Amino acid sequence: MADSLSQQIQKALSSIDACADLEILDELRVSLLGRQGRITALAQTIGTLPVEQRKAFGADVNRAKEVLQSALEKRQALLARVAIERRLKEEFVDCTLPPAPELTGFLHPLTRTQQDLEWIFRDMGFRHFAGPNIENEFLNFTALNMPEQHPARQMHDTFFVDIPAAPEGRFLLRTQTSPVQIRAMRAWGAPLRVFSIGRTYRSDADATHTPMFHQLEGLVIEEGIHFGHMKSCITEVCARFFNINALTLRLRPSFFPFTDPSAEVDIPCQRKEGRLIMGEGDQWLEILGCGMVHPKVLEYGGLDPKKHQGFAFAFGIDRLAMLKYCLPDLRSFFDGDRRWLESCGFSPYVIGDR
Amino acid sequence: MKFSLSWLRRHLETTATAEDLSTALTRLGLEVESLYDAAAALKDFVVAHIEAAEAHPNADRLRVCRVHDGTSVHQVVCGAPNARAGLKVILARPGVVIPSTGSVLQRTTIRGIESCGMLCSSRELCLSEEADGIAELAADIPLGLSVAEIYGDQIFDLSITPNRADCFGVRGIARDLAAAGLGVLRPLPADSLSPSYDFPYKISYGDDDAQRYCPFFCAVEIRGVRNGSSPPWLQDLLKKAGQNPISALVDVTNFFALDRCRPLHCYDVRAFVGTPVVRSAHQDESFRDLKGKTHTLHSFMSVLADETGPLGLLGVMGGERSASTLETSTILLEAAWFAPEAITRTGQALCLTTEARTRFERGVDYATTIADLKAAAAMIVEFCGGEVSEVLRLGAPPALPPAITLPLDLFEKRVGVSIEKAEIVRLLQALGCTETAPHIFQPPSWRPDLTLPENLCGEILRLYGFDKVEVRSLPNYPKSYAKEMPAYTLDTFKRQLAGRGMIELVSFPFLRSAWAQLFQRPEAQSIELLNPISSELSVLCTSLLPHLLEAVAKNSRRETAPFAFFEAGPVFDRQFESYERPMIAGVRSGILAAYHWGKRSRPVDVFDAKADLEALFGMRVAAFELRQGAPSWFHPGCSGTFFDGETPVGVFGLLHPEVLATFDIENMPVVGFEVYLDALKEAPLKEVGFVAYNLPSVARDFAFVVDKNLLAARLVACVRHAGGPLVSRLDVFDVYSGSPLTDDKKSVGISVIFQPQTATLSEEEVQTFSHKIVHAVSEQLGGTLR
Repeated sequence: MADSLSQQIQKALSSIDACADLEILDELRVSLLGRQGRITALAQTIGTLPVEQRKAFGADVNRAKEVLQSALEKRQALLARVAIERRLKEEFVDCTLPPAPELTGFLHPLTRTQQDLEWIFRDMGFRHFAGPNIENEFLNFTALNMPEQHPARQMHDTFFVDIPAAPEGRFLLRTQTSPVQIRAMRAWGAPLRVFSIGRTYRSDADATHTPMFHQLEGLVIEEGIHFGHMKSCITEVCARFFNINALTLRLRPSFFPFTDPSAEVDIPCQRKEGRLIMGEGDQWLEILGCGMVHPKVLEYGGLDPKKHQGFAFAFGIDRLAMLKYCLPDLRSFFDGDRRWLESCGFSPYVIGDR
Repeated sequence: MKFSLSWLRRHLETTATAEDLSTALTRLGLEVESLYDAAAALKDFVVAHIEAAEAHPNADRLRVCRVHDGTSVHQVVCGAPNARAGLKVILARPGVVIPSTGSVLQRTTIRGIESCGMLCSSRELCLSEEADGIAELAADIPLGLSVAEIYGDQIFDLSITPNRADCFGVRGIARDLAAAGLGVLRPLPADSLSPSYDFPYKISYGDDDAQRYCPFFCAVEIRGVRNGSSPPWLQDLLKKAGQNPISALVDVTNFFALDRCRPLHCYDVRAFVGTPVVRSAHQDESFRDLKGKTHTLHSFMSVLADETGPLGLLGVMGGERSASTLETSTILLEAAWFAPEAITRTGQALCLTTEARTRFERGVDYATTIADLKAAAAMIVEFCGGEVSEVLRLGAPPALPPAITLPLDLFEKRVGVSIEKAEIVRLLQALGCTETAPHIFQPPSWRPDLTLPENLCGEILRLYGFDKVEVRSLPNYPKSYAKEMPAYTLDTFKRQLAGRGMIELVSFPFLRSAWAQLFQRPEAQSIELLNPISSELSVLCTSLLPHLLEAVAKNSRRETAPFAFFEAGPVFDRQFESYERPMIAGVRSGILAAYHWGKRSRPVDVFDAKADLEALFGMRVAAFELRQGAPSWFHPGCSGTFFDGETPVGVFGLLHPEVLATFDIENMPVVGFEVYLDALKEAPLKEVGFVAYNLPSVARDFAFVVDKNLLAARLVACVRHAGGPLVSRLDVFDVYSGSPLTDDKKSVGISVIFQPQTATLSEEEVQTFSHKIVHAVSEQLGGTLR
C-alpha cells in the first residue's frame, strides 16, 4: 500500500513536470488534490485501515499532499513566467511610428514683445491705460500741442474715417499712442506713472513702413521728476528688454511738439557674424523718442504746468521685435504666412527669454 | 538740407574738421544724415582731354575716344551724346570706385573694342542729380589735375526738425555751431546797394485777406540786367547742395533761400499787364506754375496778379508767364513775409512742396527781409549789371514775439543740472536772445519756436549737452497696482488658443468693401476710411474672419495641410462705444490626420470650433445659453451662438460655402468662431464649493425617442432639471435615426450619473429619479423611452 502511494506520487510528480500548460496543470491539480482527486480519495481510505496503520498512513498521505502541492506551485510559477515571456515576445509595436498628429500653436512675435514690455513696465510701477484706435483730431493732435496748421501735423499721413466730425474735430485712426497721455492725465491726474501699448496707423506703405504698426507710450508725472530721471528710466527699459548689463544710450536733441526738450535716443550696437548685437559697439540705432512733457500738453491734460512736470517717451514695438528677435522684414509680420509664423513665433508656454 | 563745408565756412570761421562739425551738429539736434567726403571719393579722377572721338564700328550710339590725361593716352568707349573731340572731361581709370554706384571700374571690351576707362557725368560723381551726358570742364583747367582739386569738398546732408526754420539756411546752422563753441559767426557784408530810381509800380493790397496772408511785401525793380550763367563759385556751391545751376537770376534767388533761409522771387516784368496787385485768389482761378503745371486756386490763397491773372502764387511758387529767362532784362525781385499757417494751407490744398513753402510755413526771419532783398539785388547787379530801384514796402513785418521770463530755478528743476546764471545768459545770447531785464529774454526774430521758458530750458540743455546730464534713478513707486490685473487678460486667451494648436496672426484692420459686406449683420453700421491706401481697402474690419480666411486661402495655395489660425484685435462699428469692440476669432480648416498610419482621417467639423469657444469660456460656459444658428457668414444649419441672457457672446460654425467661394476656398471644410471679449469679461465666473464625494455614484443610461428636430441642448436641460441636484454628470453617448424609427424621430442616448452627498442611494431612490426624468421628457418634450 505504501508502495502504491509512493508510486502514485512519482507518477504525479512526473506528470506535473511534464505539464506545459497552465490550464492542464490546473486540471492536474484538481485530479490530484481536488475534492475528488486521487490523493484526496486515498486519504479517505484511511478509515478502512487497521488502527495501528492509520497513523503512519495519515502521515504519508499528508506528506504526499505537501510534496505535490509544492511541485504544483513551482510548476505553476514557472509556466506563468514562460507564458508572460511568450506574450512579451509575441506583442510588438513599432514605436518608431508617429503618434496621432496634433497642431502646434504659436504666438505672434509682436505678442511676445508686448508681453516682455508689459512685464518690465508693471515691474517698474507703471499702470496700463488702454486707448481707442479711433481718436478725434483734438486728442491726436491739438491736445498734443499740434495745432491745425502745425508743420508737425503734416509729418503724419493720417487716415480719416467717415464718422461725422464732433466738436473735438474729425475722427481718425490714431497716428500715435500719445493721445493716451491726455486720456490718462484726465482720468487719473497726478502723480502718474502709466504706459500704453497699442496699434497706430499712418497711410504709409513701403519696405520699412506698414499702414499699421504698434507703439508703446510711457508717461511719468511725479514730484521732482526731471530729465535725469528720464535718462535712467529709458535706459533701464532698454537694458532690461535687450538683456544688457551696462548700457549707455545716446540722446540726440530733436523736436516733438508735445515735449521740450525732446530727444531721439540711439542704442549702441555692432554686427558680428551677420548678427546684430545690441548694447555695445561703434554703431548707433535709433530706438525711441522722449522728452519732458510740454506745458501745453499738461494743461490739455487738466494739470497745472506750474505744479507738475514729467517726461514721456514712445517707441515702435515692431522695430523692437525686429531688433531683439532678428526679424528682417516688417511686412512679413502681417503676411499671415504659416511658415514665417511658425519659425518666428513663440510657444505659449514660455515666459522670459527663449 | 544739403550744403558743403565750403559754404558753411562762408559763415563760420572755424578750424574744426568736417567730422568734428558733424558730431557737433548731431549733438545740437541738427541730425547729420550723411557726411560725404567728395575730396576722398574724387581724388583718383583726373582732368583729361578728348583728342579724337570716332564712331564705334559696331554700335551707332557709341564713340571711341582717344583721351589724353597729361601723361598718356587712353582709348575709351563712351555712349554720351556730348562726347566730342576737344572737350575737357573727367576720366576714371580702371580700379577707381565710382561714387554713385560704389563699384570698381573694370577694363572692358565693348562690342569688340577695348575701353580703358570711363568719361564721367557729374551724376556718377555724386556732384549733381542731372545726367545730361559727361561733365564738360572749362578749357583752361590743366590736364592730369585731380578732380578733388576742383570739386573736392565735404557735403553735409542734415535732417532739420520742423521747429527750426532758421536752419533751412546755412547761416542758421553756422549760428548754432558758433553758439556751441565750434567757431565764430562771420558778420554779413555791409549794404552796398545804391538805388538809382523810384520803385515804378503802385503795388497795393487788393483785399484784407491778402494782407493777412502776406503782411509784409517788399520788392525792388532791376533794369538792364543781362541774364546768363552765374559765376563758377556760385554754381559750385549750388551743385554741391544738390541744386542745378540754371541762370544767374535763378541761381541768386536759390542761393539766398539756402544761404539765409530767404526765399525770393524774380518776376520778368515783360509779363505784367497793368499794375500788379497783392490779392486773394479768385475761387477756382487757374494758375500755371513755372514748371508748366496748372493749378485751380482757392480764395484763401493769395497771388501777385496783374490785369490778366496771377503772376505768382505767393510764398509757394512763381508762374510760368512771368518766369525769368535768358532774354529777361527787367525784373521785379520780391522778398516778403507770409503767415506760416496760410502757406501750409495753400501748399496742402495743392499738394505742392517747394523750397519756398518749406521755409515760409516754418517761419522765415521777418526782421532781415529788406537787408536780404538789398543784398540779393546787389548780387544780381554784380553778376548781370543793371540799375536798382528804391525798395517797395507794403504792410509791416510782424512784431517780435513777447519776451520770456525765465525763472531762475526752472532749468535745474526740469533738467536736474545746475548752471551758473552768467552761463545761461551767455548761451541764450549766442542763440540770438537778448536779456532785456534780469531773467527776461527776448527771443530773436528767426526763432518763432521760442515762446515759453521751457523752450529756453530746452535750448540751454541743447547747447550744454544732453549727454552731460547725470542719470538719476526713478524713485520707487509707492503704490502697487498688481490687483488691477484682470483674472483673464487677453494674454490668457491668446496662450490658451496657441496651446490648442492655433497660430496667431496680426493683420491690418482694412477690408475690401465687398468682403466687409459679407461679414456684416443687418443692423451693422460699418466705418469707412476717407483716404484709404487703395480703394480696395476702405472699410474698417467688422470681423476678424476675413483676414483669417485669406490666410487659409493663401497658405493652402502653398501647401496642403490643416490650418488653425486666430487673431485678437478690434472690430469697428459706429454704434459701438468708442467705435470698437475687442474680439478674438479663429478658424480651422482641412482634413485632420489625413496621412496617419493609425488614426482615421476626418475633416474639421463644427465641434472643433465649438471646443475652441468652450475652452475660452471655461467655467463661464455654464452661465451661457447655446442657440442654433449664427450670423449670415456661417452655414445656417451648422452653426451656433452662445448667449449671456439676450447678449450674444460668441458664435461658431461651419463657414458659409458662398463666403468660402469668395476667398477661393473650395472643397475644403473651414470652421470658425468669434468672441466679443468685452462681453466675456462681464460674464460672472461660476463659484463652486468643493465637496468630497466618498459615497458611491450610480449610473443610469436612457435612450429617448424624440422629434428629429429637437435640439440636444433642450433634452439635456430637461433631463438635468428633472434629475435634480444629484446629477453630477451627463453625457450624450448616442444619437441615432433610421429603422426602426420613423423618419420624424431620432433616438438620443443619455448617460446620467447620480452622485449622493450625504447618504448612499438606495435602488428605490434611483428608480424615483429615473421615473422623474422619463416623466419630464415625456411631458415636456413628448419623448418616450426606447
